[in-house]
Amino acid sequence: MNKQPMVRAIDVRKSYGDQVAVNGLTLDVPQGKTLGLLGPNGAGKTTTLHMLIGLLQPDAGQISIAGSTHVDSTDVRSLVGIAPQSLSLYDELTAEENLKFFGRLYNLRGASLQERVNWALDFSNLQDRRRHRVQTYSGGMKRRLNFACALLHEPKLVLLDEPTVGVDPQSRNHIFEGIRKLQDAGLTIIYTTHYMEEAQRLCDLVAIIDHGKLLELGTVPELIRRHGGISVITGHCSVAPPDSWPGVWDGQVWRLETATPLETLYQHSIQTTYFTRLQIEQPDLESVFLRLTGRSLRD
Amino acid sequence: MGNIITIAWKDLILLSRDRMAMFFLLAFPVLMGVLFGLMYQGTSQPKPGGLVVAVIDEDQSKMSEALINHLVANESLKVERLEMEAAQERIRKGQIVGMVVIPAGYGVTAGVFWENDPVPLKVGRDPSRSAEAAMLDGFLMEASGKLMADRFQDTDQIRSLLEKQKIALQQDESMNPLNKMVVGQLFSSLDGLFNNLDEVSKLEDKEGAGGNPLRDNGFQFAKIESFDAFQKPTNKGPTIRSGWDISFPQSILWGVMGSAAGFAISLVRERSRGTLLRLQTSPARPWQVILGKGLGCFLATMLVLVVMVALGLALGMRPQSPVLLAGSAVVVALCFVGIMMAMSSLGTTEEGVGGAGWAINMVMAMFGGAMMPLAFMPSFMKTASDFSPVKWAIVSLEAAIWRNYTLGEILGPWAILLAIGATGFAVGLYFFQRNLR
Repeated sequence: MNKQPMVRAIDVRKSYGDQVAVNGLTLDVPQGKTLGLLGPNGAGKTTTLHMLIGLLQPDAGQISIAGSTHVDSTDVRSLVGIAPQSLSLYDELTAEENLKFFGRLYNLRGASLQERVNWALDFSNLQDRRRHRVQTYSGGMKRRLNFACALLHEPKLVLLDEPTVGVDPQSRNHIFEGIRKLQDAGLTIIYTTHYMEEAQRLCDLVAIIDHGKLLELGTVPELIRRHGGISVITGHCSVAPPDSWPGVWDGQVWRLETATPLETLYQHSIQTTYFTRLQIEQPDLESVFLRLTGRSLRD
Repeated sequence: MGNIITIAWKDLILLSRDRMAMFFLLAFPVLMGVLFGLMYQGTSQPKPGGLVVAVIDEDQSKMSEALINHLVANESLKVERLEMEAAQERIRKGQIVGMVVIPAGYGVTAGVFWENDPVPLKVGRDPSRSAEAAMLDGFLMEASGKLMADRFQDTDQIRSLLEKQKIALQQDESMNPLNKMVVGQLFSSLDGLFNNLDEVSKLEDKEGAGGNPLRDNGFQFAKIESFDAFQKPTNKGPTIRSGWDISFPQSILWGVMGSAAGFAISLVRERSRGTLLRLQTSPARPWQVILGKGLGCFLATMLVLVVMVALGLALGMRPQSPVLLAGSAVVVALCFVGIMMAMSSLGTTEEGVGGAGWAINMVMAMFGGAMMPLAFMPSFMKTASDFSPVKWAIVSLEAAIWRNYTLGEILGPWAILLAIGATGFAVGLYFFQRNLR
């Protein structure tokens, strides 16, 4: 089995004048894995993506894609597909024309081009609108087409830059389904977002970036275990709980902090029917981010 | 090559779906061509009644009437007999070029070549139409020359004037005696000439072939014949066959400039709509992207040229050399593709590039003769026009359409255009690649 990571970044730095955009980024993205780049706006996510695909030259450090450090070479570019944050489509062309144009740039021709165009139209669920100009599409349809354009040439690495910004729930679910299919097909995906739930739901690995610096990298459970803190159980009850129960009662709400909420409830024979309302708050990426950066992701 | 053609084809489809761009590409130059063509109609032949002038005859003499008749006979003039106030009102409203006042006493000295203090004609002009007023001066000189010829054809009248002048000469005590002797001898010689003419006339009357030899032989002081300056002695027929021959090079240039400006915006539009990022991350190299844009612009410009030439042919334009016209079209298109590349690198927004593109076009057009013929420009503007590619483009097209250039002669303008295009392309490519970094 090939152990070479699909993406490797070693101490990569990039500045715009005095503004440090990426500060010593080091990470590996194994083949077939989905990495979520999580960070607020201006954290350096897009700059990182642009360096990965050779659009920007790092001031220092090294980047390799599939073992090649020539990330702007034709061979490497053929391995990579990108769905930019801003919709990169020609509004005056139809979906089919857009797909054919981008397919030809990747040397697809004739029957293979038509086959891939049909696949992309199916993937984006735009078969019935294939001959309509993009300017007549909804935001969600454009976003789906933008995604499909990145996949036309069957890349091994897909970069998705905030792919669900400004889309309706239906299109968002469609995009999630598409990502699942790509994961099943063994593609490597780098997914930038500032939606915690998306990263938690879709990503094998999450890199938390702030002010251009990689704060933490790991699986979601690892990050939560390391930085998420403990769970909080709160129960509403009108009668004081037994003294044998751990925790604190303020006269209305019983509260207990524990790393193992279900086990704790079981061990102390705490009857859930005692409470009018019982709630267990488990730590998530939001709390991880809060602990690592001292601020909320959407601040 | 595949990527270049793919990008060019995509740009042409985008262009065809942009109504405003298509208007500036095809409809606008057609309008300009028709407008200029109508303006230049009749350039190759006299334009009847082109200059409207008023005549105020305060002399009411035989000679003033003769002068007016000579002016009326001029096909380029339309003469209106008016009162002074009416004429001034017509000039103020820009309805006539000027007025000719024939003062009282004009007829006494008109056409008398030895008269050193003739009564002058007075010409009132519209100050904004100096070129036409200068033409009017020329027509007046022509008519005055004809009056002089009229005098010589009427020997009785000129002899009477001569007698009066001889008496005046004898009574003039202020004149130097030597000068008086020379002028007196001239008058005597003229007397002799007119006596001889009378004798000849009488003799021929007896033989049944009488007349005044000066009049009968069509005596004129000067005779002017027009010929086509572009016609070589060996050629037959005029080279300018219609006003469209002159107007179409200019109107074609408007279409070419519209194409260049439109494509200059297309590059920055790729950036603003985000598609440039996809192009950059595709296997297409930056030079292929830029060449694709250039090819699209070239093909669109050639389309303009073909459509305009076809329209010109339909309206009566007849190129002297279709081969040189095809060559000029290709060279002009290449030049403006290069200019487009440079314009596209001037800014990072559509508004910036669009505004700068048309501003540059306007300056190039103004100095290059696409707005106003070079012939009407002051000398400093004519000198400045050498730096405008529009001028060389018009010269190249005119050279093939009606200036009758040889291949050797047209190579100079072509070389200038290709050099401008190559420079523009290099500048554009440099800044495009620099902006990518």
